[in-house]
Parts: sequence; C-alpha cells; structure tokens
Amino acid sequence: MFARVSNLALKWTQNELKARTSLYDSVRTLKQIKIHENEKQIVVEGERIESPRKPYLVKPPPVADEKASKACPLCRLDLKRLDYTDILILRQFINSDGTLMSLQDSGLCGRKYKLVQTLVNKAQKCRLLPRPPHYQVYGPWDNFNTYYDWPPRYRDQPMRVIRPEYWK
Amino acid sequence: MVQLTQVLCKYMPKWVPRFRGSNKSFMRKQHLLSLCGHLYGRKRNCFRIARRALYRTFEISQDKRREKKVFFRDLFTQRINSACAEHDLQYKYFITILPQLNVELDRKILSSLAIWEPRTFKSLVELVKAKRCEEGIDEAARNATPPAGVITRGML
Amino acid sequence: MSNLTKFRRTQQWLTFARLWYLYDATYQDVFDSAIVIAQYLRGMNKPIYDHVRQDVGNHVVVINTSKVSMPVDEWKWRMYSHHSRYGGGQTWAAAHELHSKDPTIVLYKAVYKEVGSAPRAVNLIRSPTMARLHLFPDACIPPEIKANICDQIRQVQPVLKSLKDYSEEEVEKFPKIVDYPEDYVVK
Repeated sequence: MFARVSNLALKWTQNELKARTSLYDSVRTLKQIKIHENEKQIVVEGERIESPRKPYLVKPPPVADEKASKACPLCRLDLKRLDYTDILILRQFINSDGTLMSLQDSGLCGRKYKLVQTLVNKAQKCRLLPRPPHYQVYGPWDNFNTYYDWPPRYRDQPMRVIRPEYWK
Repeated sequence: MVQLTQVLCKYMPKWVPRFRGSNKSFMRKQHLLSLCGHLYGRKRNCFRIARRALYRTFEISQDKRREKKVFFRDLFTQRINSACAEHDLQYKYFITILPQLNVELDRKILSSLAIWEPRTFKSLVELVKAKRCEEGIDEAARNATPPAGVITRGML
Repeated sequence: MSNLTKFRRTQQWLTFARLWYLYDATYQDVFDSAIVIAQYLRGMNKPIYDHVRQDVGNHVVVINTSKVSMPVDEWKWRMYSHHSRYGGGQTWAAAHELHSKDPTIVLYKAVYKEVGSAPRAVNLIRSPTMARLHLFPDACIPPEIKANICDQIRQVQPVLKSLKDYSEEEVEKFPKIVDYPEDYVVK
C-alpha cells in the first residue's frame, strides 16, 4: 500500500540549507543579563558575550547587483518550500520562552517576517515549537496532535451534515 | 410437485402413475412449472404467476451475465494492484506502460501470473520500472535506480 | 488424506496463513491510516484476495493510538453519534471527548467504517474482521501478541519532529541564517 504523498517534510528545506553551508566571520557582541546577590544588594548587570551563532552563520550567495545585496538574508537565500515543519530554521526567530522576536531584532524584511510569523504560529499550534507562556488554549482539542495538510482535503462537510443544535 | 424427466419415466416401474403424452398443453405447463421449482410461494405452483416470475428470472440472469464481466475485471484489477504494491509500483503505471513494451497481456492473465508465477510477474514489474527510469517523467522516476538485470536499447 | 503432496500442502498453509502486521500510529492521520489498516484486515494486500469465496484477512496490531493526529480543529468539529434506541436517546460527542475517554475508540470507529464500506458480502464478515484488529494506546504489547508479528505497515505520513526530538548539539550546530543584532539582550 502506498503512502499518501504530501508536502509535509518530503524533502525538508532544512536539509537543503544544510547542504550549502559556508561560514564567514563577523564580530557581534551581545548582552546577557546576570544577577549577583550579595548580603546587602542585588546587582543586575548586562555582561557582554560573543554571539553563539557566530561559527555557524550561513554565507549568503554572492550577488552582482548592489540593490540585491541589501535584501534580507532570508530573501537572498531564496529557500524553496519553507514550511512549518522546518523548526530548526524557525527556532532562530523565537526567544527561549517561545515568543517571536521583534521585526528589528530578527533582521528580516517585512514580508519574510510575516511569513515566519505565520509559520511559527502553525508550528506552535501543532506543538512542534514551545508555546509562549500566555498562549491561549481554547479547549482540550488544542492539546492533541494535529497537522496542516496542503492542499486541504474536505472529507465531508460537517456544517451541512450536523444540525446546528448539536454543535457544542 | 415433482416431475420426472422422460428418461426417468421410461425406467420407472409400471405401477408408478405418470402422465402420458396425450394432453399436450398440460405437459407444456408442467414443463414450465418444473423450471420454477426454486421460487417461493404461488410463483412455483400457479401457472400464470409462475410464467411471469420465470420471465423475470430470465431478465435478471441476463443482467447478471453483464455484471459478471465488470465484477471479474474489478477483482483482477484489485489483485494486480496488490501484487504491484508488493514490488512498490503503482498499478496505473504498470497497466499503462506494459502495452507500450509490446507486452499485451490482459488483466486476467496478469492476475493469474501474480498468483501462480510470482517471479514472472516480478520480471514484468522490473521491465516497467526500467522503462519508467528511462523516460524519467516525474521526480520519483528520475531519482529511482534502474533495476539490475534489465537490458535496454540504450545499453547496447 | 488429500491428494496433495507434502510440499503442496505446506504451500497451501503458507499461502492462506493469517499474517500479523504492526502499525505505528504516532502522528498519523486517523482516517487515512484507517483506509490502509482496513485493506490489510481484509487481505487486500495479497494477490489471492477474493471477497466472495474466501476470507484471506490479516491481523493488524496498532500501537500508539493515543498519539494519532487529525487536521487542525478537526478534533473539535468531528462528531460521533450514538442512539440508545429509546425516545430522545441520541447523543453526540466530539472526537476530542471520545479520545480523552478512550484513546483507541476514534481509530476503531474509523476502521469499522472502512471495513463496512466494501461491496456486499463483506458486511457479513465485518465482526470477524474487526476481531482481528488489536489496538493499544501506547507501545506496550502483550508478549503473546508480540511473538506473532512478522511485518510492518508503512506509515501514511512522515512523523513530525518537535524541538524536543532534536538533541541540543544538533540545534546549536544547525546553520544560522541571521546573527543577533548588536547589543541584543539574550532572552
């Protein structure tokens, strides 16, 4: 019997990205908040650290056009079929508690940021990425395993089959 | 009501009461009723009802003779489908590519090959797979490795 | 004694033996996997399949049925009805309600529907067919059933991997697209 061919991670975009990894050097310093407690006082300090992403950065493909070189990194990479299942890519745009980074912090253009936002929301709905602390769960159905299928299939039409008085 | 055939009538002992061939219309009716023995109720005993019922059974059996061909074609299709799935090939490719290779076997023969000669069937499947690799119509066909042991014209 | 030779008789046994298949239902769609399971239960994966004259069905052992998945929000709107045969005895329950009570019943009902959707005579052998389906909410199988399993059914979907399924090293060493901005406060 044959498996249904779906676009779900048939050939993950992650693998595509892994294949053309080439690294380049850059120096960025970040701040990490550290709290020291003494007997009398509490010191909150922003300690400067090196970026942990530095050795693993992807070098974008070279472009001759000067205008194209100003595009955001996700546009320049031009990944095909970026999907909600590519969580190792989407994880780079969320904080440790699951909230999405701001547009300025993410370094993306508005269009790609919107794309990433929808994909992160989908991944959180399917519980692939950690949900933020105040994620609204409307009922127990949000905690079961779900997936998004594309193209969507309408196996039956519940709005027509089931009369509205039986809806809960 | 049990009617005896002419052969049985001949060899029965003489004391058995039986109809002589004098009353022709009566014998004709008895002959028709003997065909209705499997029907239920008055359809088997009363002549006028039995005749109607008998004609109806003729119509039904005529329909069934047409349905039978569809039924068996479906069954053969299902059998070839499951046999192809064992070799990881889809039925639609198998049945469309075989005539292109001048293998003009019908579904009945193919299904019986799948049951009784599975290795012959497997060789047919490998022919189809090699053809699909050669053409490379879709992505799955292009990525697949061609089966060993099939000599194509490109190799010569 | 039959006229068959010993070899032919053994061949006959092996051909018509009921095989035991394993199916892992983690992150699999309920209704798609029910179609596949029903085919194996009825023996449609064999070339000798015949739904009129003989029953050549297999056993199917399904594990991890509590982890089955549906498309988004289908847990909410998929309704199941039950009638107690008394007046006003019809009750309705959503899929998530049934699933939280009994993690095997959603898959059971889906397979039951698929087995019965076959032409004519199969409906008579529906109950013996369903008796060959063994559902387990988790990966624990009793040893007497586990000893029989001989093959595995291919899953209908790729299993989704959540962030917990990757190791920390794998996540850390994955190629990064953008660096953090200057003076970014790590959260």
